[in-house]
Amino acid sequence: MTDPRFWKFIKWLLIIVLAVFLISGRLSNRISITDFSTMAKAVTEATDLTPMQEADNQMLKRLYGLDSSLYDGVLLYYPTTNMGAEELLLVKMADTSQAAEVQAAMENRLATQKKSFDGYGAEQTAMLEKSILKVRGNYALFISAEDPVKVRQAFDRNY
Amino acid sequence: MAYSFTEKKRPSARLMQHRITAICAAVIAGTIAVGSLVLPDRAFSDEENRTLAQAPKLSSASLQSGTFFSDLSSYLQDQIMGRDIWMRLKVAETQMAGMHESGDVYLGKNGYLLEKPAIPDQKKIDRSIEQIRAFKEQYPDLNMVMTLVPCAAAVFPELLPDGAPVHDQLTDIGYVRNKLVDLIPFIEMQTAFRNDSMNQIYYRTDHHWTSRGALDAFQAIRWELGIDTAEYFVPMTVSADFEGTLASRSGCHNQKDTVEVYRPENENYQYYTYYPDSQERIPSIFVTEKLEEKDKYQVFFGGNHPVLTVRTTLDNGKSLLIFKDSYANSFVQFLLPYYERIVLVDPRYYYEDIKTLITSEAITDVLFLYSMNTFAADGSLADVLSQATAETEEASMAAAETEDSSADPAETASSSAAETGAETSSVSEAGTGAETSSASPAENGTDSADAESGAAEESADQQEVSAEEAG
Amino acid sequence: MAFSTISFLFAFLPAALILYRIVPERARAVILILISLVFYAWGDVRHLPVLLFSMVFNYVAGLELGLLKQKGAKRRAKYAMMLAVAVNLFLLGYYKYTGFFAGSLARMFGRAPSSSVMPLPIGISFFTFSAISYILDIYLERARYSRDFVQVAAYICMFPKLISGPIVQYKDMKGRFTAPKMTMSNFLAGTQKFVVGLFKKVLLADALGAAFAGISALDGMAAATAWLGMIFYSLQLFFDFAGYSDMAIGLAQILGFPIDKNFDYPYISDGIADFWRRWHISLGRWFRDYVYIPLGGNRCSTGRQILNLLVVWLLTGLWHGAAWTFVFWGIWHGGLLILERFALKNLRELIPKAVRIAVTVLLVFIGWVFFFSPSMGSALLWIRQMFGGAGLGIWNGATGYFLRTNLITLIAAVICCGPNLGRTVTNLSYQKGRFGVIISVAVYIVLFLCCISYIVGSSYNSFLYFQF
Repeated sequence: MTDPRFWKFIKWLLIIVLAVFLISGRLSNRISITDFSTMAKAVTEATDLTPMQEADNQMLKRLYGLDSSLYDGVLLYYPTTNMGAEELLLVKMADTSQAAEVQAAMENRLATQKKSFDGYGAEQTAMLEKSILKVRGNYALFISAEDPVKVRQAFDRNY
Repeated sequence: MAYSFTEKKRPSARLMQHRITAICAAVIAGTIAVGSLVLPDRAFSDEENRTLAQAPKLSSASLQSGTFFSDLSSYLQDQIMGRDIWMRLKVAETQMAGMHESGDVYLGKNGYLLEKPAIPDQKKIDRSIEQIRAFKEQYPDLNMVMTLVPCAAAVFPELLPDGAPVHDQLTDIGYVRNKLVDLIPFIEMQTAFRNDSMNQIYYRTDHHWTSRGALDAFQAIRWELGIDTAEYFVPMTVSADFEGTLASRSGCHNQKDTVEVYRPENENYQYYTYYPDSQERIPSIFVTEKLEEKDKYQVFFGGNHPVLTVRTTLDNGKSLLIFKDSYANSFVQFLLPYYERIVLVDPRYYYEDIKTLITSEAITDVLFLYSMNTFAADGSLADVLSQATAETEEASMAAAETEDSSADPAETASSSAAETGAETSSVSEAGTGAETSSASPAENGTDSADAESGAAEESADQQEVSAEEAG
Repeated sequence: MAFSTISFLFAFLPAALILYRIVPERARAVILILISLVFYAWGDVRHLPVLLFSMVFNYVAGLELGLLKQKGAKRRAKYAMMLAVAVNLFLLGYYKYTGFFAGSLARMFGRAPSSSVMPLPIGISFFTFSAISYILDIYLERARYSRDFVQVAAYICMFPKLISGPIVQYKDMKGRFTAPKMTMSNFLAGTQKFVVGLFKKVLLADALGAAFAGISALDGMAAATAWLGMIFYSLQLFFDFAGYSDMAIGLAQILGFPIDKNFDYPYISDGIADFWRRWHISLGRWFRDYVYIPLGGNRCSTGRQILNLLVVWLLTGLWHGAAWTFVFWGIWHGGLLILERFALKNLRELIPKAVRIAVTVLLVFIGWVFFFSPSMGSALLWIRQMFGGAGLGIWNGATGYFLRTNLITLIAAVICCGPNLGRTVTNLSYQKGRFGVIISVAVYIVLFLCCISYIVGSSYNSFLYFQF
């Protein structure tokens, strides 16, 4: 332990750890240059859209309280019936500072949905439980579907 | 001797001073800390008019993302012992220090609290103007009137603390007026208000106008609405201890306002208000229970609703649609003697289709009534209107389609109205409305074609299909 | 987490002090590290790994460097030192300057800079400089390396100075963490300093800041308004920073680590050099000890001295922030210093002291305009408005409003800029017997209660969902 070479070794190890930490941080949170339409296509193709319908600005505002004009791109599919829990929201933010509000809006919506199905829609509740909410760099994704993992993978592949 | 005496005494006096100060500070801080911990948490703050943060739940996710700590901070802040007392103390101190502002509210003269006029969002304003124009072009036969109500500081700058800088809101209103006045009569309010300045036009503690202010506005605007017989309205005080939003925001609680409602002298009609959210019919526009609550301005309709309908026993075929913010809530009391129906739409909460509403309620008049502060910052009016105009664009496309298959455009319009679930009776009653929606699209289609969004296009597809089916 | 928050004053601090007090002296350094980490996580949990890395890395690098020094391996020691400093600077640069340099490069090539802004780990400028001080003190043989991780870690992360300084140097702190003592006299004096710092921050700086914010939100300023805004900001900055330093020093003293003062009435300086002996003293000392003196200091040719000064001031500017306005501000001070030292040396003596102070304060205040402006363009616009560039004349209603409503704060602030008030208070409190003590305690308590009301009041916000 009094050999400086031992500490030199540890030091380099630490530098490598730092490099890995910083690089992984960069990679996962860098701003994606992926086009919104490309991403939207990839994400919608990864799931079955039949139980959903596409929403307009008004619907987005109603369900999420978000104003689509503030973002680079927004795509929302919501359940066709009141009994459905399938939902897909993809947001490309104009600025990463919007991440918090988008995430909060998604969490709110998820909570509302859980509440409305709690105790009477076992299937829907289960679907909502495994839903995925992900904010990464300038994109945010909320997916509630049969197989949400597939959508997330498509999202990450195209990020 | 004397010199060495002070030398000896100084350190001990210093020590004594330090000791007492430190002990007092520690006792105060400790009392507040323990007190906040022991006292039960409050759920709601009347003075701030909001729910207070509660103890956050600890989880590994909330810990990692940092939300636990930020929630904890807001919890500690909101539940600190004597929160309201500290706030009152602070306001008293700032006033003693000669300041005339608290929480972005000016502490003006004669006990007036004045909000700062909003700096307008130019893009939103221009979009709203554009959509209002498009809406008028689409419904040229509806009698439309617009007014934007300036805030108290803009109309009565003499109530502001001397020299207090404010954004010039009257210029903003003039800007909107100039962009619209060739299409839609636009009434400015400042002269009417100033001429009546012996009365209280705005609440002292709230950002709204008083019923008196609304009455002045009504007198200024009624000609444009085609009302030439003026009823005599009698005021009645319903509350004398109103502390409004500006009192909450500034923390200044040393004033109370009086809330008045007006009734026409000869009330030779009956009416009810329909609340679609609760599906209730109430034979009044006043919700007196709200006078027991903090926000007494809610006595008018109980606050804001996405849509409200007032029906009277009058039979004059006049039906008014108001696009509004909460300023209009206290304005409706003056309209009751003149309309068969009054529909209030608050675009901020309204998600339905305006077109259908216009047909089903047989709308003949439209009033845009906003406070400038809302109009300057809100995009939802444009959203709602653009939905109406964009759908016409689809309808026009559909019409174009059906014209190819040599169908009668009027038929298309009525079929699509029936399809959207309008009462057939009202369609026939609506006459003008239905005609408009079939006639204008042909001219209008090119005009707004480039303006609108993807959503419109894709629902246009649906419309196309249904139009073909109808054909 | 700032010191002047409810969370800190009424939750974190009492709990931390009690914990720190009840553990045996030997365990205190460990407890200090733990509570400091909680303190950091409370403000910025995502960057906790960065702080942890800095603590571990510098301990290891210090060990290697120290052992090499012991062996007399000069070359290898030099390389080890350079690498360790480079890693620290890289970490700082990575978070603080990537955007700035990338943006400047992009603009140079005519491209729009990317909008991505990396959140800055709280206090990274301060704890990185502490860490570099540890490495360089070993290398320059001003202190011995430590085998004890707790010593190094506690030095880097102790919470009083963690996020806003003062930047204490390792050689002044070495060995103090072995068994820190909490004494009554330290507790009393520390509390006094903390409370005074709280007054400066909450009662003066925040009020001045609100006034400055009001002025900078104006569409256009009359000349006098622009001057007033500059004065408000200059005073705000001083009381904010000095108040924060006082609180940090007071806290450190309560915990058993007396630290030198960080500000010494800077706005009565009679020259720029004098100003920097009084303003943010610990930063000036850091640059002197670790940059200026290693570069050769005063013992070299005039040309070399000027170059050294420029380097130091360029770095000082950049340290304050990654923007051209800060670079300019650094050069402004560096340039004035060079002028003062080499060109105006004899002239200075001829000017009366009052005039020297006035000129110094004016030059420093103008420097702050660049400091607070978001861009060079807006700084120049502000200065133009100080000479009537907005076309609103010398004085208008807004000027009167801001002056009148903040007059008491302004007068109080100006008085607190000089030592007279402190001297008077000392005389009155300590030389008039019991009466003086009682009065002075009463004043302190009233001010303390005012502080609490301001702190609670600033978190007051009414819910205005139904506003419109």
